[in-house]
Amino acid sequence: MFDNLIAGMHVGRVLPEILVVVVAFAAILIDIIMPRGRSTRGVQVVSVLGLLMVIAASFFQRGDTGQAFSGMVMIDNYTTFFRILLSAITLLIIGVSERYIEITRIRIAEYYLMLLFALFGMLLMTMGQDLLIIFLGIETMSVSLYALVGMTRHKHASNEGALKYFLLGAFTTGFFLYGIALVFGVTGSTNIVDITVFLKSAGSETPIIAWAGAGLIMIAFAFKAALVPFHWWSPDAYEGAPTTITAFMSTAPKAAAFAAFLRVFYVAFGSMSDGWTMVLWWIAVVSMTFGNLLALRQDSVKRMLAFSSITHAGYLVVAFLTFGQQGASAILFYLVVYGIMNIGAFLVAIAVNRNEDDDKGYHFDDYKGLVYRRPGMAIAMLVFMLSLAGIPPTAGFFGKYYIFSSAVSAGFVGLAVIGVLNSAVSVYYYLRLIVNMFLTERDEETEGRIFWTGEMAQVVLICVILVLLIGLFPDTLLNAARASVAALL
Amino acid sequence: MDYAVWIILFPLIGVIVNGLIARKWPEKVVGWFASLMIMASFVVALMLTIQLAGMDPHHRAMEVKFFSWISVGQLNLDFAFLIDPLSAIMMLVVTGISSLIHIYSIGYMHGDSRFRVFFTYLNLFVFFMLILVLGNSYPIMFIGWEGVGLCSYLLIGFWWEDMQKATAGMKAFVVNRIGDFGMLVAMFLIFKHLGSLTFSEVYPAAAELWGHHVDAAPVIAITLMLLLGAAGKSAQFPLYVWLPDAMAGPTPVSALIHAATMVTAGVYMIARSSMLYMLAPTSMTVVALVGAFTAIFAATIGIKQFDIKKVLAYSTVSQLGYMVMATGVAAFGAGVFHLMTHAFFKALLFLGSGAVIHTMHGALHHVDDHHTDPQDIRNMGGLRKKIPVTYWTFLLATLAIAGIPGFSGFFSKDEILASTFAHGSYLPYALGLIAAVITAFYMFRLVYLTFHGDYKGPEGSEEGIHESPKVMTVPLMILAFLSIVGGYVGLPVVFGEHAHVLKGWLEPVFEPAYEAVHYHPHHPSIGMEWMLIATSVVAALAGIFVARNMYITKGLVAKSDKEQTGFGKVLWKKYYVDEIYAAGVIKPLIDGSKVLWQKFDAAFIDSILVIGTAKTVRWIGGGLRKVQTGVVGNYAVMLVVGVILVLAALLLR
Repeated sequence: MFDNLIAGMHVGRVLPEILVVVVAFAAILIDIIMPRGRSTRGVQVVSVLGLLMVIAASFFQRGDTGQAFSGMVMIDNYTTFFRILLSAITLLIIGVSERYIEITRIRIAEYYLMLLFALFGMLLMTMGQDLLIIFLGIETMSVSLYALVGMTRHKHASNEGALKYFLLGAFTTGFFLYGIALVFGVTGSTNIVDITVFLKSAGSETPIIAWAGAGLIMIAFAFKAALVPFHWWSPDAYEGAPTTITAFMSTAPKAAAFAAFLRVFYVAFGSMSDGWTMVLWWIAVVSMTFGNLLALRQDSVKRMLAFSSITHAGYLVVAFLTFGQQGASAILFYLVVYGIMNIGAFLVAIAVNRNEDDDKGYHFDDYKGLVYRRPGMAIAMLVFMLSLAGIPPTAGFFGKYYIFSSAVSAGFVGLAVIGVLNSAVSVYYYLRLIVNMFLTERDEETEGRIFWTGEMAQVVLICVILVLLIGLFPDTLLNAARASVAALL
Repeated sequence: MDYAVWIILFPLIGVIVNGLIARKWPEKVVGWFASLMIMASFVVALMLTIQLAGMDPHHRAMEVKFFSWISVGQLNLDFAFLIDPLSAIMMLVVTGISSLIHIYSIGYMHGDSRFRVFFTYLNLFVFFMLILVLGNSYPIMFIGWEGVGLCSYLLIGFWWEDMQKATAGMKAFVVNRIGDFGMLVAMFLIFKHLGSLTFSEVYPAAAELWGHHVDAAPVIAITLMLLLGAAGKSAQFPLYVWLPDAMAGPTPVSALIHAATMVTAGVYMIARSSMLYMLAPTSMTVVALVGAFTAIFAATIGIKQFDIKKVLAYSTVSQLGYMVMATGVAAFGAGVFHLMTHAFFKALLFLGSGAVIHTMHGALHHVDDHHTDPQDIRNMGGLRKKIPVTYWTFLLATLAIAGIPGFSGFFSKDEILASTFAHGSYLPYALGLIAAVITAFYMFRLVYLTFHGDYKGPEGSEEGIHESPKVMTVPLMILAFLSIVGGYVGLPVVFGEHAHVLKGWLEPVFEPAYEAVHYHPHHPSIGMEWMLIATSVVAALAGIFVARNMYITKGLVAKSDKEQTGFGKVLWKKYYVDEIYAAGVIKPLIDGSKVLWQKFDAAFIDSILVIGTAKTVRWIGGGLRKVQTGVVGNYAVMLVVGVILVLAALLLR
């Protein structure tokens, strides 16, 4: 009997997750064992190698699909897609962190530990087939993020952001749990498969309690994905966090939130789509517009990127509410593209920033005439900005193209129009940076020392190549996205 | 056919070599290398066209596939070129004019510290422009469309001494995004309704779907959205505002991008989409009216401008209006014809004005005068004798644009007006005819004030005025030659049935569109044709006569800025359109975002960061209770409001 139980768990299917935890603990052990001063290097190497193994394991494990842990988690192409995406983002961030945390005086192994735990939480979210597993994932991820935001302990903004994120996050946790309770009350289960069966048979007779439960769960996801009007925490947290963490937070946790959001709403609450698409329509509109209007007036590149990430989440919702294969694959495609271009942009921002300890850092003026100081860096930033603005032949163009095209095909022409107009407005602030870099004279007063390491150069180069490659040959990634969502629908 | 790829590879090699390798190369080598790449591209275009001409007229189209680009679900796109009579004309015009302007730029940009960068951008522009005109589907066209926009923007802001120029570049880019919005939405709709984006699949499908009941709502929406895209790129009312400002860029850029090639992309796109437009007569009417109105509106502004390049800029907007008007009355061939002749004479006018500015600059420098504007025609006059080559070539181009018989502009403009009249669009015809009078007037005003009369510049600066070097004047002469003979490929019907070579050449492209709706292009009778020609000529002569009377016979001198009054002032101020935009669009947007910023952000974010930080310090000190209650409380309240809204929406469905 015990043997049956073990066999039913299919432990092999969650090998990548196990690896993440092992790497995390290995990292902390190394920190303890190795002498101070050399330990960061050791932790860095172990984490990078470990994450490469996680990616490899996810890749080679992709054929072995099915449930595990008695249906609590589901390993399918969809899970594999996100496993690779999330591990790769974490890898990129960890890859450039060593020197950065030195200069920002973080310099502790907890930084790596927390990033790896956050990754573990996110992986749970993408594979969870039970609302409780997803809840567990969200909380693991969130607690790690709270700590990461507040990691620069000597900076007020960092503490500020962490505390606010924590308080509001705790608040939202309540909504999520209450939502699960209500859904359980109606359907008698927290398992997505069971909920789906129950709600499908209920059809139009779906009890109002289930609607309330779905609504509360939606709010929790909207909070994690930083959608208006649940985004209040994000500017503070993004601003206060160490910039590598800002880059991480605006990409990976957002992707994980959408991964779980998609699974729960496309599968479990699929029969209720008439109701939730209408709500999401408004959330999409206000997210795109509000994020844009706020980003327009920023003088700090970090804040501009933070606010514009709200807008980008809004675009994702546009594809989300089409409730179809085309829309879902557009989301997956865009999450990858957004991750690449945003991390690239944040890394250049870190490089150019004059003074990490100055709250007035990351100013647009720092970029004046950058092309004459660092042509390569300026061209890389140009590529990222054009991609964020959605101009061909970059990956960002195709990302937006598929999103709005899916909306039109599903009949949401008005929403697509609002979305394309918003992306036209967004060009303004991305362009401002291009103007400063290419069309402005060097200004000795605003020039600071450029912080640039070999690792950063490598990662930025990878990002530039990927942005252009996906822009020129988008179909490989898009077909992968389509194959992945096919598992879902 | 495989060699077709070289047409874009040559400019690309130019970009790579000049952009990355040529750091230490001398100026001359850089300039000539870039020019040679474009000339090589022109040769390829020529070979392709000759090959095309050798084919059966009704199957005169070749698709050259390079690789399978996107293959996802229903969407299958190849990266391929469509080479047919229409794109052949476009590629010849683009590479031909570009070659001349590249050579001219070697002289014009001489001594500029960023000489190499300039040629890199210019080559990159040609690369994208060719993708635009050769792409076999809307997405490929769109890649070129955005690429040329980016190059145009980088080149407008090329000289950044004053922030104004960078701002002009930005304006161009942002206004163009409004047009691109139209393009994108049109593409989504085309794909939704027709299931493809490749030209060769979209048009037959459209004919099948909408051929029997024209003016279906989707096709009207598609064509109007495409018109919005064309209006942005081809500077039609009300999106023309960026083009006059774009003249801040170096003059060769104005000639190449903002007169001869990029700005005609909208006209090309409408002509390419002729099938869709024929299926939506309502949109056609809108297109014709927008074009006619733009033609006359911009022409009137041109009367009262004093900056030599601004006059030409508004003239370009006005001439683009003619081309758009032509497509709106189903005279696509006439629109493309005018596009071609305009490319010749307007490039010439801009290059001529560049030569004038170049020498005025030198002259003013000669007397150490840095206040007088070298582009203001009120400081010129009498340059005829000093720079004869520039004068004569400029005059030939002016005769062409004014529509004097025998010059290229006459044939194409007359064909547009005749087709508009024959189509029964009398209002656009009337507007176009009046615009023709005004065009002749302002162009000759420009010639008289610049080249005739007495020199009005600062004393002593006269001696500094010299003819430009050969590398600049030879392209002027070649373009002058083209401005004369360029029209003879399209002789009016009165010279015989097949006198219009260009029409016969383009026919296979537009034929399917006409057939789909059983449309027969109207031809005026021979007598009527003669009468229309006579009317056009009288219109042109009238404009010239008035200009001559005012500026030569009466010797009127243009008024200074302070003396502007009445309607003249309104024209001088360009109908206050920029001010209206500033007050009606830009200010509300900025204010709105400012309010949002102050009310929401300042209240909820800044106050927390600044005041809240002090509170955090106290919290670290131990007073957890006092902390932030107010502020995080605000967030929580907003969050709860959101929760209530979402739940209410779901529960009260």
